[in-house]
Amino acid sequence: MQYRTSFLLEVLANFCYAFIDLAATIILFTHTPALKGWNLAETALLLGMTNTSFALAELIGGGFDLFPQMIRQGGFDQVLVRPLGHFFQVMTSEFVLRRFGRLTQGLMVIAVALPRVFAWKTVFGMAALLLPVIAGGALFYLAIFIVQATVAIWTVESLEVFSIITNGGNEVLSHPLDIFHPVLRRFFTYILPMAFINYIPVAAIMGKPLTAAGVPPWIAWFSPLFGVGAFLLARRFWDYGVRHYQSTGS
Amino acid sequence: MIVAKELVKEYKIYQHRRGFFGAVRNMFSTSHTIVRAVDQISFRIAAGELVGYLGPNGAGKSTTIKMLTGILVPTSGELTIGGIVPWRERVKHARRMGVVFGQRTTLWWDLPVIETMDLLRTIYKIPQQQYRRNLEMFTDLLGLSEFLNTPVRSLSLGQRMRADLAAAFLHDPEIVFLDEPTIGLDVLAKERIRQFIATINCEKKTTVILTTHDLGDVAKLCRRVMMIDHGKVLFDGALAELVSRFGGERRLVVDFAEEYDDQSIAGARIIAKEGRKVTYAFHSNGNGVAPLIEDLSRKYKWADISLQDPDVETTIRRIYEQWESDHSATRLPC
Repeated sequence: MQYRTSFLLEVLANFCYAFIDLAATIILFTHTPALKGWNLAETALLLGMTNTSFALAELIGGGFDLFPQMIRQGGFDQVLVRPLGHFFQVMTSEFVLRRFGRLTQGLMVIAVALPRVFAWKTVFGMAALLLPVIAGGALFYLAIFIVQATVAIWTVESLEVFSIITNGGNEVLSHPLDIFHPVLRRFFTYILPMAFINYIPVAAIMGKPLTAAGVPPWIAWFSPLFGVGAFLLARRFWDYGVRHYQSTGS
Repeated sequence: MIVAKELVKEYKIYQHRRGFFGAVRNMFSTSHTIVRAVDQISFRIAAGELVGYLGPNGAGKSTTIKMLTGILVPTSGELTIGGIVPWRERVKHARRMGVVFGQRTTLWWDLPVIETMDLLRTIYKIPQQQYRRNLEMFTDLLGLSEFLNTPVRSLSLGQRMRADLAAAFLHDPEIVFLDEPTIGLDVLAKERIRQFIATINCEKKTTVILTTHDLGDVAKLCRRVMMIDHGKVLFDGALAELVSRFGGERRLVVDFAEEYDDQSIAGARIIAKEGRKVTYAFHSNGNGVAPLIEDLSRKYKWADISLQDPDVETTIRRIYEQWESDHSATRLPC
């Protein structure tokens, strides 16, 4: 914590940056009271949840973000000669506090949106699923970060492709899935089941039809497990990658 | 301690296409060339040995070391160190070994040396007493006290290397890998580091594998030498044997008691004359120096004789040269 001012400014910048998302959503709703049956508060809840998940994943898995650099500079050799797990070492190699900005924004949006969507018939669902869904979402994003990092073991380029999934996915999930093209809906439900990070459970709790995703409502209760599953798969892919690590020249 | 059987490491070199679509294709493409860096090498190293591992750049030294340290997984072959397969039980192996990469520090860039040592104590779970004893001993042997509180990034190369060495031996590892530990250092620093390695190997019976280009390291430290090139072991044996087998010509310097016109002796040629002092060169393969001295004594009266063995450096250069000429039909144009 050598540069206090710089740190505070960074947190603030991150915080403001995250609010631009919210501003866009609010502006959108000044023109229409509802979007395919979702009002502003409900949409804001989606946005707050996905941002919170994303921020948590960034906070925990910041090390994976810098892993390509570590590979290129040969730092991973040092990790492998230490008597600690390589996954743990890489994950904790970087802890970026400024990402608290996005986390704060996410939590604040949830705090504001939640009372506005409150209804007695949804209270049980919210209480039971809100935290597990956010945690599952964080695990899902973390899984993507891990896969992205692992690919760096084979190639140093082409990593930007993953931004489509991380940042693009985050963008999509900030809105109800109903508004997107069917191809995109199916992609985020069946191929990369990120809709389970927030849209499917939230829609199910509020008793909205899940026609956009095309899945039965009971499955929504198992949403957090998709995050756990994605994380476990990513973890295995990581181990596979490390076995194929080639190191750099001497 | 170490048993390696027909160890092979192949690298896949992927072709890189440029641009966005190139990058996408790279992700799915399988077009690559295979380079065999280590080609079926086998060896055994006993506990407590201090082995020099030599070879020119790109010979496969570093690749071997990376397999031994558990960084790389061998393509085929067997490797056990103290009964453990390094990459399969990496953490357990890491606990028992130490490593220094001369080219790159294994320490934390921003931490002062003493805090680095403290952190290592935690990571390796070194008992307090052992830690203090070792730190004291290494501080003394390597002269660490002048920069214990300096962050690693501000150390000079010589200081950094000494800190790295101390860190590698701190947890009393059974085996230590030193990859070019004297690279780029001045004579005094080299000497100090050699002295340290010799002392630890002797007192703690630590097995040490040392790769180097500095033949002074080898001459001063290693009883056994393994030489590798193009991924294959060219020689594995005692240093003295290496010198006598590949050393080529030895030298015999004779101080004659009288003047002679013809000073020739069978099996040797004259390479220098200075008054009554004549230097002969001869090949040591065969019966050694005895027949030469017999012939000399029969023909002439001499006052003094001295024998010079070729040094390690000459020997190794000869091996490299011989290997090169055997394996390359075309020489570079002048």
